[in-house]
Amino acid sequence: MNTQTISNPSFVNMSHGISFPTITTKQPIPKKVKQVSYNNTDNTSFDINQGLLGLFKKLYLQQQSAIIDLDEKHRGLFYLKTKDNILYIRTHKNNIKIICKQSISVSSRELEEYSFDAKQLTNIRAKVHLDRFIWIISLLTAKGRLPKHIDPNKTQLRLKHWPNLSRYKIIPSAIQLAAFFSQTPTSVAMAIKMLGCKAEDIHNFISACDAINILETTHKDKTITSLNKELPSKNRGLLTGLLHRLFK
Amino acid sequence: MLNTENLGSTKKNPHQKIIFTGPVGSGKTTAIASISDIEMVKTDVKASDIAIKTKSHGHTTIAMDYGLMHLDDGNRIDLYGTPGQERFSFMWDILTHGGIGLILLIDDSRKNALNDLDFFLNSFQIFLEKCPVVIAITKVDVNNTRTLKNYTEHLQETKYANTPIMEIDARKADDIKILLKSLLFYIDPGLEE
Repeated sequence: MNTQTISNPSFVNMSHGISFPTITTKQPIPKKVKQVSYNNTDNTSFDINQGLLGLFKKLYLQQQSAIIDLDEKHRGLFYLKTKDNILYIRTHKNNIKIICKQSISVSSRELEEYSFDAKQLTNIRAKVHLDRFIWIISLLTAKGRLPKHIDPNKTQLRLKHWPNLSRYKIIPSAIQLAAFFSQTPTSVAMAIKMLGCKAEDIHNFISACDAINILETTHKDKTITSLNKELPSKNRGLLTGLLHRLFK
Repeated sequence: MLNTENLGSTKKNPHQKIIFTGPVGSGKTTAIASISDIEMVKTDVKASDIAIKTKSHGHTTIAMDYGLMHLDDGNRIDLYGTPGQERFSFMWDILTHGGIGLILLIDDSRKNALNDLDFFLNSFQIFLEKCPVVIAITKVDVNNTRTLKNYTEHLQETKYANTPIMEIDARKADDIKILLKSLLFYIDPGLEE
């Protein structure tokens, strides 16, 4: 039996104890390792706690139902029923893009759920799932940048649980990143190095996970240079073959 | 513990399999049919008891469902669906033998969906010590009594806290593909797309 067995116990955990056989004659493709360098002066970070995204993030975290206004006229652009995960939108999607891109300030007031009747709400443009909306506006706001409280080299990231990826706006490599960060607490820089994904995609994914409160962060004093668990280095013939089939 | 049995030599075991399980009416047969390259092989009969309440077409699987996906290199992945009823649970062990992973479908419209989740995770416990599971929540729009958060919070108290979990529509091939991709990347996050 041509089976590659792995003696490293950390790998055994990572791979669920599966050893992988040589199934095809093709050699595994060497991993493209990107060298990434960050400096603190370039435009790669943003404040996730500011603007529309910051307000939605806070209300979602606190499970607080609210009405969000753009100005003092109290026109109520968004009505959040947080416990039901429902959002009523009363503005055009282009306006939402502008609010996110220009970091326009917004305010909120309490929504009294017991007296709230959505049927009496006029000019509703859309009724959506709140978490899915937060995921979208995090992408509009992040634009490939990382939340500034996350140091790409020193902040260790871990997902509290898997995001609802079948229902969220697609981010390239999101499934791979979810698998990686849910099992392997590590930094953004290490993820880029190990997975070879685009930095912008990782930044967007991390921003979105942070916005919906499924990201756990731990700041380390030194640059993270190794993984707690090693990535499998086995023959990936069968899995890669199936993956390619699924991407067709 | 290494599971050399599951992914053994191609001479002994040329095709690998993924198993779909879950309660009656959760969408196992539909999920396999939506991605299988061949017409499904079904072993269903007219549902005569509790199953009939959850099956709109009045049939339920008693032994297994079978489909497959052809790969470019000539290999293939076999897709097996277990019967949902507990009285056919003797088939579960047989069908998981040699599997590389489990897709667990949970019907959210059922009253005790969280109990179903616990029951199936427990029933496949031995298999799941060696292989990963991906959890798919179906029919979420029927009752709207729970959100995905109820399931993820429930799992936080178990060893399955990091398990891939998501809502799906079993009729949509794209949703099933996301499940399978999640399973593959969960096995090996370093796979190249």
